[in-house]
Amino acid sequence: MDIDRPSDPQVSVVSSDGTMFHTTLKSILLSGTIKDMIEHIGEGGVENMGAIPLQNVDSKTLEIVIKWIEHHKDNIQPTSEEIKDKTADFIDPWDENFLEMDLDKLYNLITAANYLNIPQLLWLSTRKIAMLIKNRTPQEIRSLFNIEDDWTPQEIEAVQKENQWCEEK
Amino acid sequence: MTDNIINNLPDEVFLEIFNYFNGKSLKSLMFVCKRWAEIISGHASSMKKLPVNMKKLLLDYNGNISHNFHTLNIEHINIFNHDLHDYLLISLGRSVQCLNISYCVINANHLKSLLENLIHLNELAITKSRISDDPIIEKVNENEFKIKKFKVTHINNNILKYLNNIQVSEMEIIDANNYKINHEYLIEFILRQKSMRSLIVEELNNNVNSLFLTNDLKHATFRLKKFTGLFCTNLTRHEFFNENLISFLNVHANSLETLKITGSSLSPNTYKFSISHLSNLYMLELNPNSIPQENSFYKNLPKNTNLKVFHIESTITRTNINGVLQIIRHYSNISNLMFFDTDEFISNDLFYAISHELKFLLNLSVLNFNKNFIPTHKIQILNSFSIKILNDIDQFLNFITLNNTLEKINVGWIKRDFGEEIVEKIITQPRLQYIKFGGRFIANKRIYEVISRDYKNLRTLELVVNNYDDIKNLKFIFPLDRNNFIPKCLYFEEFNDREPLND
Repeated sequence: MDIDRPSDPQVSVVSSDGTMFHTTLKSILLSGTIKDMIEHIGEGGVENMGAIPLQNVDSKTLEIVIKWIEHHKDNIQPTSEEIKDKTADFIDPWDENFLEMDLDKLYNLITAANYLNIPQLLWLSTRKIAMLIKNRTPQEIRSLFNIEDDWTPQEIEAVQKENQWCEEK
Repeated sequence: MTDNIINNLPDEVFLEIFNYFNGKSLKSLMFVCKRWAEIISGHASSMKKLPVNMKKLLLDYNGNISHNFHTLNIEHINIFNHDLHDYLLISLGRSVQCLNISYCVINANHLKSLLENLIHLNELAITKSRISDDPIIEKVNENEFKIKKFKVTHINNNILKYLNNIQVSEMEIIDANNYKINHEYLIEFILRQKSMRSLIVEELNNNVNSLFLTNDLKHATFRLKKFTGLFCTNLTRHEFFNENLISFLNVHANSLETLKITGSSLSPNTYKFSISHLSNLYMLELNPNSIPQENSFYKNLPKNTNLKVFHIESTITRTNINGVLQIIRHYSNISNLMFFDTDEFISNDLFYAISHELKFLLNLSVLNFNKNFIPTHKIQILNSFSIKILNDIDQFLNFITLNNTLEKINVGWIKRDFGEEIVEKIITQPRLQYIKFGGRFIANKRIYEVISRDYKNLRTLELVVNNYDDIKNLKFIFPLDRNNFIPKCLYFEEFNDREPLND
């Protein structure tokens, strides 16, 4: 199948809760998972392909993902290898703005980006979480992300003891 | 979506997140909750990415991997895995000469392979790190390889066991006992050495006898060829220590040039042995409180003329001066003497002995002059004098006027300001070529005028300024070269990055 054709055919995807979204081939190919699916499509090609079901992504999240991939469809996406070497310094302001969302949405976005295999989006969204964690104490992190503290003081002491050899004096 | 807590995210996503942090931060993140701790400790070895700090280290400004790393520091990484290992080898390969590993858990095979492949490695330091538990030791290439300096600090016991094919020429073991270094491995390691020249041991407390021979090691085997320097500090006195040290010294008596045993006391026998048998000794550093004081002890000792450098580690007092004086008599060729402090009753006696016994003394370094000290005896050919703290200017002036052979003077800190007539006296010393002063006084403009007008042979003026305002003044008076005074070098410590001020 020729995925580099200049025209950009319409593709439909369906969220886990049954909502259908229309987007373009170029956009949807940013997802490694969908790219794999499409590349293995047999006769008939993309034009005749039905809507792609995405069991693990709900409609709210899919809408966000589609917004992102449509914005980035013409940008050259870094490979996972390139992302590996990326330092956390340079972020497109559009992306920065795009990621201004509440934590629930962000978790869903991360899960979706992971499932759909969109390396750049996964990188951006996990970076967002990492930035929130950075320079915070464990207690602050727990209250920020609403995590239950399941350590007992005795356990903490044991872990600290175990790690003592590498603590700074 | 019903359940929207962060901990519903899969492990692989957490790994993505945790990859932004270095080992030290990860340790703190372990205390957020057990899930995080499990991911960090359990999956640590399968993390695909390098910690961000490693990446920053390895990337130069263009974002490319630099192949010209001279020194590589690996810190806070408890995921010393295959990827990191390969990455280091591929990207750094042959350029690294110094490798510092600290706060790491290392797989023995990776460490060995890394060391063997960094073929230009010259210095290795391992600090507060350990070999990961139960490593499966593969038979990797067992060729011996050499590094020059090897330093271990606070390491967990078994690293040395796995480094059985390294040959080092200088080894330093610091505070090993604190982290229960296994002395068996240490001894074995040292015994394997064929060309170790220097061994520095600090603060070994228990089992120190095993370092200096045990019953099950034959004396003859504990011989290091070309071994020239032993430095021990804070060795707690141990039953076998002196005995073992003597046998060690005995084996190396003909090669040992440097002996430094500080912070611990030697038995009279050990001491006697070191000053009578170590015929090649060039440098000796001792605690005066640990040496015998009775004259009888020194009576039949043969003179030793090889020793040139003698450092006295702690305050010379009425109770230990006799030993010091005896040593000075014994080693009459000392050219370089350094002592810290003297008590007020003995400083004149000490200087008398120095001027009468040490005919070849060129360099003298003291902490300060005692207030009772009156310079009356010239040290014959004294060339260089260094005093850390200067209290009394007249006393100092008398001393340098008396010792008119001085070419170099180094004053660490001058307590009080002094005026032009004193500067004049200092710089008109006939042979003085070099002065270094520290303290605030040098901002004084007049002093420059005096120096530029009256200096004789002065070639180098080195100033250590500790006050920003002083620099201002210095700048103001600086065009000294107009008056033909051209300082060879002029240092302003700590202020090199300040903007130059206009006149």
